[in-house]
Amino acid sequence: MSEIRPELLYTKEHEWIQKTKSPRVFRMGITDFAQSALGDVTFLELPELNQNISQDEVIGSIESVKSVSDLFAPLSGKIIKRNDALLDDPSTVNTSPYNDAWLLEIEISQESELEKLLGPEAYESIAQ
Amino acid sequence: MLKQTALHDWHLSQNAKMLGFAGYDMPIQYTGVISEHECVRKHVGLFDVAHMGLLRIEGQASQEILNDFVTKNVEQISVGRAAYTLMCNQQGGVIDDLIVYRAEENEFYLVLNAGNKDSDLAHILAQDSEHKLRITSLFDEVSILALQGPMAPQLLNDLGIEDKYRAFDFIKTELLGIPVQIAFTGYTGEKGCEIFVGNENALTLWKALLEAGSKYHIQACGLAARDSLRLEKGYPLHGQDISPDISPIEAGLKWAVDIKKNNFVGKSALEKHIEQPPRKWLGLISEIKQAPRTGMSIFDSTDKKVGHITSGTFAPSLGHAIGMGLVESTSTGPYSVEIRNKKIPFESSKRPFYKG
Repeated sequence: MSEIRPELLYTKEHEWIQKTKSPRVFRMGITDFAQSALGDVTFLELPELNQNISQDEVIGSIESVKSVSDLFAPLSGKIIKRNDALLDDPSTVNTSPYNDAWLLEIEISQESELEKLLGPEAYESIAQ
Repeated sequence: MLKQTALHDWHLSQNAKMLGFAGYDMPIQYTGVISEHECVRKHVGLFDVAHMGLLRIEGQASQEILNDFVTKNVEQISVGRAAYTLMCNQQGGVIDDLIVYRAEENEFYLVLNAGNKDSDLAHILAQDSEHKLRITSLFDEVSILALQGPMAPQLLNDLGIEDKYRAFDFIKTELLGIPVQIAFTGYTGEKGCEIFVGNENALTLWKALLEAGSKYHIQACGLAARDSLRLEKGYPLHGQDISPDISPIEAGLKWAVDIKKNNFVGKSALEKHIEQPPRKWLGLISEIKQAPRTGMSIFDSTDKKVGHITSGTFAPSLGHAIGMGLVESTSTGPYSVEIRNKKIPFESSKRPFYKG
C-alpha cells in the first residue's frame, strides 16, 4: 500500500503539491504510488529556473530502467527553485518521494487553479 | 486470459510486480530491478523462465532436418553440448533465435522464445513433412529455472554438481533427488545454468535453490533485470533487435550463421546480405543516464536519419545509457539519437557493453 499524506494536494498525474511558508510558492514532487509504479528511477529531466509554465503542460520527464513518464505542470507560474541534487542521485525519488525528492518550487500565477487539485481522499481513489 | 507458470503462486506470495508477457503473467521484479541486476552480477540470481518453449526432437533424421532450418551446422554440436542458433525465413529474416541442445546422438532439445513458440512449433512441424521425427512439445510440462551469477558454480557444487562444466555443456542428472537436465547456458552473460525440471517438482526445486543459495546472497530476479542484464552484454531480443524483417547479418550475428553448410532456409538471402548488407548493427553508449528507447531515430554526422534504436536502457552495471540499433550500412558516425525532441550524441561501441 503506497503512502498518501493527508496534508498534501495531488494531481491525477500522481504529483503532490505542498504550500510553503512563502505566499504563492508551492513545492511539488511525485507520489509514493508513482515512484513505486515506475520502479528504480535513473534519470530526471527538469525545467529550467525562471521558466514560465502552464498548468498541465509537459515540463520534463522521469525515467526508470524500464519506462519513461512525462512530468506535468501541476499549476501555472514560474519555476523559482529546482532540486538539482536529484539530477546526480535520482534514486532519492524512490527512497524519499515526499521529502528529499521534492522536484520544483513554483511561484503560482493563477490561484484559482488550486481548486482543480485533488485532496488526499480523492487521490487515494485513483492511486491503486 | 494470461497463462501461469508452475511458480505463479509463489511469485504472488512475494508481492512480485507482475505483468503480461508473451501470454504469461510473469514477475517483472520482486524488490527492484537494479538490486536484482546487481545481485546477478555480484552474487547469484534465480529466474523463472518457464514461459519459454521447450521442445524435444527425436529420430534418426534429427540432425539432417534440423540442419535444413537452423543457421548452425548441427553436426558440430556433440552429444552433451549446445549451441546458439537462428531459424530464418526465405528472405533471411529471423523467425526466432534459439538454443539447440544435443542430449543423445538422435535426441535434441530446443528452447524457443515464449512469444514465438507456438508459431515456431508449426514451422518446425512443416519442415518434417515426411514425419520422420518425433517432435514433442514440453511447453506445459517442463519449467526452466535460470540460475545465473558468479556464485552459481559454487552453489551447484554444494548441491553435488561438480564445478567442471563449461559454457554450453548439457547434462542429465539429479538435483536434490529431483531428475533434471542442466544446460550451462543463460541470457545474462554470467556463469550459471538453466535447469529443465518437471512442473510437478519446479516449486520444490525453486525453494531449495533459494534456501541453499542464501549464504551466497541469492535473490529471485524478474524479467526486468533479465532484460537489462542481456542488453549490457549486447545479446539480441527477438521482436526488437532481430525479427522476421531483420537478418542475423544485419543484426551483427554473422558468427551464428554457418553460411558454408548445405542448403538451409534463408541461405541464399543471407549470402546476399553477407556481400552487401542493407543495414548494419550499431552499438551506442553515452555518459548520460537518459536511455535511448526502442523506435527512437538515429542520425548520422550530417544530421540525416539513418536508422532506429532496437533496444536501449540505463545500464545499471555501467551507470550510463546504452543502446543497440539498425542503421543504413553505408552510414558513418558520430551518431546521435533523438530523445524527447533533442538530438543527443552517442559514441559507437562494440559488444559487450559491459565487459566484467
